[in-house]
Amino acid sequence: MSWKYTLGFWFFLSIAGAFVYAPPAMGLGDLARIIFFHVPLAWVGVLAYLVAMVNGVRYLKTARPEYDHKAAFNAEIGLVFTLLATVTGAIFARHTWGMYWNWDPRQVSIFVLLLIYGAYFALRSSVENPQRRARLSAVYISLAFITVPFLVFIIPRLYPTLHPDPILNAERRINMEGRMLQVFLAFLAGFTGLYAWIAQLESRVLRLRARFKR
Amino acid sequence: MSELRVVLAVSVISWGGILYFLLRLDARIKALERQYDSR
Repeated sequence: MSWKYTLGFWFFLSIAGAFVYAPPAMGLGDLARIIFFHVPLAWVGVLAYLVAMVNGVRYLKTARPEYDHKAAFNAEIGLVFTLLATVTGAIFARHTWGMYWNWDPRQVSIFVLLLIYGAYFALRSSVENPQRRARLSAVYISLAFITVPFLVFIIPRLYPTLHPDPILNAERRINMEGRMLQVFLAFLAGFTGLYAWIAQLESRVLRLRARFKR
Repeated sequence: MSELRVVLAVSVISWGGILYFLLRLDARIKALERQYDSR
């Protein structure tokens, strides 16, 4: 339990760091602080999709239902975090570009990603037979992840965009002020810990459900 | 600056709420696990 309290405290410190310790960014001012939330949310989304894909492949190899459930809840977590990244991105867009949504390549690619993972749940709910559902879902979730690097990292870099330079830019350098970078990394670690916690809770519920069924 | 304080306060309160919810959920799951183990 103690690491969970540490995580809680870590987030309180990070939040304080985001608004008190980190300076406003040149040009964007205080608005740039949204990066501390927006980028880690997107990162956790990608991480959860990766874990979902790994569990999908494991299901295809072993046909054990627990891997199907794990793939599904990781896709769920990924979808929620991607949605939050989209919302925080839209808030940023409203204040810098004047509109919440203007079909920028970044926005289009994240929208397509949401559709792809949304379709996964549509597929799951449309197949009644549990084994068939699990097999089809595992194939879908494994193939769906192939699109993630293209939609998140490649396509938005190929087209002209209003989106600020990614954290790791084309020159493979991080152009961020030292204190901002510290807070950013703290959030990245914090959000990863939060994902681990949520995934652990889901796993434990899954195990309990299986135990009580027996 | 005052707007920043409002956002800071909202963020702290929101995280406090999320943390409280997660800790309660964790404790509830733990209670169920104990209940099962003691059977």
